[in-house]
Amino acid sequence: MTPLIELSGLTKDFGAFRALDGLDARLPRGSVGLLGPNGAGKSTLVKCLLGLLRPSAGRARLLGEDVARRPLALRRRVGYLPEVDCHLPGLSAVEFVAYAGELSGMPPRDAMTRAHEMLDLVGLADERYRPVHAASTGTRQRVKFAQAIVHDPEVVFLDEPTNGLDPRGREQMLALVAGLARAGVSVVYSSHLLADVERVCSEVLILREGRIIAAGPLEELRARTGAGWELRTRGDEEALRRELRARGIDYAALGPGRGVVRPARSSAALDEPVPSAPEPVPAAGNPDAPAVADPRSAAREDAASPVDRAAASESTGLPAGEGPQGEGGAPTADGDEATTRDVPSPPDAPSGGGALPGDAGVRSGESARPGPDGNSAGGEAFSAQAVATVPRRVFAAAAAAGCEVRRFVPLRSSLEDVFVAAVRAQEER
Amino acid sequence: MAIAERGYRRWEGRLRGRALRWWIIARWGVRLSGQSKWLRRLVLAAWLPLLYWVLAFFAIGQVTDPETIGAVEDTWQFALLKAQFGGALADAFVRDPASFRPTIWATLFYFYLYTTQVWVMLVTAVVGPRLISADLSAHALGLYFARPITRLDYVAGKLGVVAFWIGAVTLGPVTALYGLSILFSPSLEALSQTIFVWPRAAGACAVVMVGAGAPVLALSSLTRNPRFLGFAWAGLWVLSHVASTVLSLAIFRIGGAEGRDWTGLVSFFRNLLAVAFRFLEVETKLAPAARLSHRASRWMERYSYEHDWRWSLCLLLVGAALSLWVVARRVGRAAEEGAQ
Repeated sequence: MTPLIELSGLTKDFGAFRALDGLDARLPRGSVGLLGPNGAGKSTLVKCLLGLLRPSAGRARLLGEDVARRPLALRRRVGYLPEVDCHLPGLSAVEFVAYAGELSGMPPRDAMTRAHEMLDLVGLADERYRPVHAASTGTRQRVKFAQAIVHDPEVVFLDEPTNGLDPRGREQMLALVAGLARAGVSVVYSSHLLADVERVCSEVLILREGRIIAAGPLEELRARTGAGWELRTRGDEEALRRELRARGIDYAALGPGRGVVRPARSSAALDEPVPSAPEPVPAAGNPDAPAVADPRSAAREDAASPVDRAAASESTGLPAGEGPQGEGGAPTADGDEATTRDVPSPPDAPSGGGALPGDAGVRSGESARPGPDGNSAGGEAFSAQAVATVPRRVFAAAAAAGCEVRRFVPLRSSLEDVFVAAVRAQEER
Repeated sequence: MAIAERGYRRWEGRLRGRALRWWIIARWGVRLSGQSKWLRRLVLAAWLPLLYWVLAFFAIGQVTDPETIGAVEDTWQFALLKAQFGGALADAFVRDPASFRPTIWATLFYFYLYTTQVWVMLVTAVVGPRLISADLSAHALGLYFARPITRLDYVAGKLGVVAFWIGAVTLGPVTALYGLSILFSPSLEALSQTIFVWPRAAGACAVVMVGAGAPVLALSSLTRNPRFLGFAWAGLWVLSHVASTVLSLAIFRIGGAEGRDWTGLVSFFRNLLAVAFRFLEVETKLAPAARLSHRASRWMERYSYEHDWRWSLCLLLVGAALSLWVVARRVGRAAEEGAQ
C-alpha cells in the first residue's frame, strides 16, 4: 500500500524564517501524530501537505500523489480541521457541515443526510440547528470535526483538535478520532499535547524548530527510549548487580528483590557477544505475579526528579503540566502511590507489556537496596539492537549470580520520554 | 441504535467533479444573504414600480387591438399612453402599431432600467459588503481552500451572489415585464417586432451585474469589518454622480458646451445607463418618433449621452476586471496569512 506521507527535503521559508528545514520522512497509513512544541512547524507541514502553502524546496507526497502537482484532486480525498477558530458566518451547524460536503463534491441531498449523521456522531444532535457562530468553543470544535469528515475522506488532518475542550469534551474528541482510525480512515493528528497523541496515534513524527527529531512507530520509539524492565528476583542482589554491570546493564533497586534494569548509558558491553543464558520459564498461573499495571509504578518511582522534568520541559518547550504525567497519584498493585506520570493505556495501541520473557522462576537470592545510580527513565535513546539483547543479558547475569528471576517485564516509556530523548539527542548533535 | 453509538461509518457515494463548485458557493451565498429581512424588503420594493409598467403595457395592448382601433380616443388606456408619450406619438402609435412598437418597447424598457439603478445601488450596499469580509473575519477561507476549490471558483461564486441579487431587481422584473407585454399584445406580431428587447435588456443587466458587483466585492475584500462599507459603497455612487454633474456645470460655465462630453464617465450611474441606452438602441428607435413628437426629441436630447458609450462599457469592464484581480489577490493573501 502506498505510504500516507512521503517527505523529501521539504523546506518552507517565510521570508528569512525557515519554518520547515529539509524534512525527510515516510509514514505509513494509519494514525500519525505530528508532535512538537508551539512553533515547531506542525501546522506549516499540514498546510504544505494540503497544498495550502507552496514548499520553498523539496517535495511532499500524500497518498502517493505529489501535493504540488495535483492539489485539487488530492483535496477531494482529504479532510481538514484547522487549528484556528473558523466557521462560515450565518450558517447553522447542519448547514455548515452540509455546505462543506457539497464543496467537497457531494450531491446536495447526500451532503445534508451525511451532515445530520456526522452531527449525531459528534454528539450535536440537539444543537444542529443553532448558528455556529453563537455556539460554544467545544461545540464549534465538534462542528469543525464533522465538516472535516463529512465527505468520508481517506485521510483527515486534525490540527490541535482538542483546543478549547473541557476534559470530557477532550475524551470524546479522542474517542472520535480513535473511531475514525478503526474505520480505516488515516488520521494525521497535529498537537503539542503528548497525551493526546499517545492516545490515538500509532506512528509519530516529532518536529522541533522545523526539523524532524524522531519519527516512526510509537511502540518502537518507546522501546528504543529505554525505560527499562522491571526485574524481581530472589537471591544475592549485589551479585546480580555486578553481573548485570559486567554485561552493560544498569540495575536500580526499588526495594527488596525488586529493581529496574536498562542498558547502561555508555557501555561497551552491549557491543560484546551475548553470553548464553538459560531459557526463561513462563510463569503461567503464578499467583505471586503482580498486576500488569504494577511495572508502571516501578517506572514512576524510577522516573527523573521533578527538577529534571522541569528542566526537560524547559528544554523541549513543552508545558511542564502537559503530557502524560499530569494526573498522577494512582495506587499501584503494591499499594505504592504513583507520584508522577500516570499514563492511561491507549485503547488501540498494542500493549508492550508481557511480550518479552518474564515471570520466570530461576534461582533465589537476597534483598537489595535502591541503587545510588537510579538513572532517568527518560532521555536515553538506545539502538534497537542494544535493546533487543537486554533480556538475554539479564537472564545470563541472573544465572551467573545465582538468582531466581521471578518477574521480568518491560516498562513502557511514555511519549514524553521519547520526546525528551529526541530533543536531547538533537541538542547533542 | 443511535448513530453516535454505531460509530463512524463510511459513505458509499461518489464525489462530483469540480466544474460547478462556484455555483455551490453562489447558491449557498444567496440562501444565506436571503435571510436578511432588509434585503427581502428591498427586492420587494424594487418590484413595486413594475406595476406602472405592467399597466402601461396592458393599456398599449388594449389600444392596439385591431377590433377597437378608432374607438380608443376616450378611453383611459389612450389617456395613459398620451400622458406617457405625448399626443402625437400616441396617435401615430395607435394608427400604426407595427411601425412604432420597437420605439415604444425600447423606450419603456429603458425607462424601467433607468429606475432600477437606485435599487441596484441599495441591494449591492446591503449584500456586497459582508460577502468576503465576513469570511475573512471568521477565518473561513481555510475551510474553502482545504477543499477542491480554487480562488477563481471562490470569486466567481461570490460574484454570483451579488449578480443574483442585482438580477433580482433588474433582469427578473425585465423578464417578467417582457413576458407580460407580449401576453397583453393583441397578436404574436408583437413578439417578432420586439424580439430584440429582451436579449438586449438582459445584456444591459449583465453589464450592471458585473460592473456593479465586482467593485463591491473588491471593497468587501479590503476589510474584515463590513459595518460601514454599505454606506461607503452608496456614497461612492452618489458622489461620483454629483462629481459628474458639478464637473459638467463647471465646464459649461467656463467653456460652454464644448468639452463636456467626457463628464458622464465620472458617474457610475451614467456609465451604466449609457450602456443600457445603447444596448436597447433607444436612440435609433426614437429617431422616427422624434420627428413626430416634441417629447420624443426631448428624450433624445436628455438621455442620449454625449460621450461614446464604448468608453463607458470599457470603463465598467476594466473596473470590474481590476476589482476581481484585487479580490483574488486579497483572498489569496488572506488564505496564505491564515495558513501561516
